[in-house]
Amino acid sequence: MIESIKQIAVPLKQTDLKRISDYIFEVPMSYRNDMRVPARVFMHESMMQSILEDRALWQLVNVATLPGIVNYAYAMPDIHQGYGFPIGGVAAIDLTEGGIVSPGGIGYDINCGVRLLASELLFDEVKPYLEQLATKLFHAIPSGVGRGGVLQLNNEQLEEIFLHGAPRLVHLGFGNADDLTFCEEGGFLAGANAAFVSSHAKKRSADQLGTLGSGNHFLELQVVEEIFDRNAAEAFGLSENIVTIMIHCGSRGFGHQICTDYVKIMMEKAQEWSLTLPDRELIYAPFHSQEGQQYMASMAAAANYAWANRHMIGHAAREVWQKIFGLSAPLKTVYDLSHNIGKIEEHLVNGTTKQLLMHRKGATRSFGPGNIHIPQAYQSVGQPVLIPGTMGTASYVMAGTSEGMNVAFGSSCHGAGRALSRTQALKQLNGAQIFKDMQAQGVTIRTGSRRGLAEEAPVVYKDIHKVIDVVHGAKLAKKVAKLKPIGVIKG
Amino acid sequence: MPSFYLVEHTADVQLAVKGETISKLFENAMHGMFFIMEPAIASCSMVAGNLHCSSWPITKKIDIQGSDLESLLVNFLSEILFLCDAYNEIYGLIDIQHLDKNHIVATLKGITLGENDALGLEIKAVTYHDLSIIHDQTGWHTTIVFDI
Repeated sequence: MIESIKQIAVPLKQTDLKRISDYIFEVPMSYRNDMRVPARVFMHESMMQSILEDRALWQLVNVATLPGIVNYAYAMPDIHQGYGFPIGGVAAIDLTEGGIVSPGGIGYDINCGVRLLASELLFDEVKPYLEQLATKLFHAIPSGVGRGGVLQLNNEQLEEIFLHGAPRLVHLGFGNADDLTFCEEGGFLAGANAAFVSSHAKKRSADQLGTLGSGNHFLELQVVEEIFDRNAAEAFGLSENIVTIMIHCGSRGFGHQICTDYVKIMMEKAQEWSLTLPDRELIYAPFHSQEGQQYMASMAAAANYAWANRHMIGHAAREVWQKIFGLSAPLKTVYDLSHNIGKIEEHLVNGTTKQLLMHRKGATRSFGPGNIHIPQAYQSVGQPVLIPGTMGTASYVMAGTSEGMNVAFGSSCHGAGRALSRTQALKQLNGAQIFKDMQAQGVTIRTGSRRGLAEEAPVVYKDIHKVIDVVHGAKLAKKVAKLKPIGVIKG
Repeated sequence: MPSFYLVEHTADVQLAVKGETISKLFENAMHGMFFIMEPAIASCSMVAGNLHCSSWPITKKIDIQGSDLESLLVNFLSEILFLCDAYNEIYGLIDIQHLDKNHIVATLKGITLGENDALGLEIKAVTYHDLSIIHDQTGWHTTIVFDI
């Protein structure tokens, strides 16, 4: 039985937040006596009511109680209620100071993330083929609940994917070296170990590689509508009116199972570790414990699977593209970025360089120019930050800044947060009507589920433009380009 | 009168479940979970939240532990979710042979999804969010939040 100081979720009030600047608000440590650091929220005053509406800030205060946490518990402007951590939460943990690892700080969908590919064709050149393109993509890339993948791998090959991620697929003849160069971490995290992954998880990995999944996952055809930073856009290969493809998905059942497995394992050890948790979903393990290390090794396996997944989908999209537009019509990976992941990074803390375990849940890395971890070609402009608006709304490409490294350890948001609950969305909206509305706006849709459209309709999400303005204003990242959807494929 | 219903929840789904006995609570939680997944299966229909199929050709035995009743419920539903995804099956009947606060043994009866069958909604995980199992004069009740 877990000894939890089970906190009743206390909603925060406007008066609990201290304004630090136009875009930064703070909950001081005095708010609650178990906080080890203050909590910082990146937001604008106009977002106050919606941010106070759910339990996100209470969860953020809980994050501030984690052993080893450094500086602040951070919340990105698209923050909303999650499990343990709020979605849009970032926590840096000092591993030398009794630091911990919390699966809820990474998420059930380990390495859910975004990949952006850019073509060299303009919208007018693609438009006559749009319906055909959407249909072929829908057929080439399985989506929807439980839809099996086209790639059949044996257990040995799957294990290699767990260990080596996307590079393994290049070895097998799928995708190319540039797809790896322009992927965060080169498409794999070192330290994965299949021995610590359960047989349940392995079983679920068997036929889901190359699949989109469902819910808010999608593949979107887009056109570059506006450029804000010419220099960075040029470095990323983006120019006005060219067509791009954005892929949003994660580690599928494999990742979900791994997170479930380790939440269970850590929950069982909680009494032995004498943990006191304000919220059971905030369960954690000492980083250096057996369970902590085994979780890290399994989380890496899930992350690698997710990168292999997006790599495979990118490859399938490229095959369809080149079938229609010819082999000399390139579709290049601009970048691939994770928004549910735990990574060990080096950062300056009070003048000293420290190894920190960065938990980013519904938040992304956003490194500035000159950082050795970003591709050579982007060194002068910073790391691309890909922010999908929800289905049918604008998406943004931003770039990490040097100042951003000092604001939230080089982190940024991941996309607009949900404002309308799923049951509310279904009561108010109608899948068939949304289908018609989006078609009228010029967005071609292929989906297995009309109900899914209502749940994921643009109005259901917080205003992405506001979120982006806060990110830009707080210098977490700077605006580079805005992408407008012209086609959506989802399960 | 349904034994479960869905509660407003911002980004996920929260299921409120009840049962006259603890076994019934677990059984209704399973039915509620499949209701959320919106099965569209040729030989089945959803009646008052329960799946009715013309036959149940699949049998699965489960034997699950938990450090307390809440953990047991989460582990029980997580195991069913795993079986559903790994074997492409759903389960409409359950016979609980043993249930105490740390251990459940049960047999599930189910059906394999065919090529034209589908699930409308994917559940990523069963969470501990807001989970307390309450036993009072009206019976057993709880709410379970699923990550979708």
